[in-house]
Amino acid sequence: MKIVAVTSCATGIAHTYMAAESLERAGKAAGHEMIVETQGAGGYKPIAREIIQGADVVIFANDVGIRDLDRFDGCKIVQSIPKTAIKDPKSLIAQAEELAGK
Amino acid sequence: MASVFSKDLITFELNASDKVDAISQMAQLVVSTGRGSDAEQIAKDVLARDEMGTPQVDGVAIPHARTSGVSQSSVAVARTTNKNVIFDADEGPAEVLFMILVPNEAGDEHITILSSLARRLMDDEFTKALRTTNDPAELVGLLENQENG
Repeated sequence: MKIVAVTSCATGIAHTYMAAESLERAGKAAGHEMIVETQGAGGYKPIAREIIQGADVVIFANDVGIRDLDRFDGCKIVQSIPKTAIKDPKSLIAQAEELAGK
Repeated sequence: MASVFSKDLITFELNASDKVDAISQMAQLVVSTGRGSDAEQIAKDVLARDEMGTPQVDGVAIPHARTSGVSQSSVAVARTTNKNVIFDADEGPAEVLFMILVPNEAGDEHITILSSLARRLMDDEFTKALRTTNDPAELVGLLENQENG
């Protein structure tokens, strides 16, 4: 299935990118299409609303607020933190699969 | 743009009594290279960030901060000689430390390099090489070789 993930952290240097890499690896290993947005210190390239709305499920791994949150209106969202995404990405992918019902 | 990595910023024998001592020693190493002027400020900012959590994966910890203590973005690397350096009790002792320091006014180029490094630290092959090399120059080469990771 298609999973959109957004990662974000306080300093925007380390956790954001480690969490993104970790989720991408785990999601692809499980056979999913992963589209990941890093909202870090280097700014971010927002994923288009249409792509987000076309995803089966969304994973948020953030400990500061998600920017442009209205893009995710109506989406099924697994809410987590970067630390969990780094340490145990498989659990978040499993939660996403369950939430999406696939 | 000067590299964020340097042979002078690497030590394979960090003998620290605890996490605070490790950060302090690494901050002094950074200042000794002329990349910063205030080791105390660096340590203070890194420890403040650590209170919100320092990421660690498979024994590789990444203490980091934006700090006025450095004048250029720098990555100090240390391998510990003991099991005293603990950031996260669940993760156990840190064996390799990457201390990422960014000046308050850092430009985007550095952030790109550092974010790329953070991503590569999730790669087992890369971290294995970090643990095994004993040549600072080789390690700098590995770190700078971002595109081929």
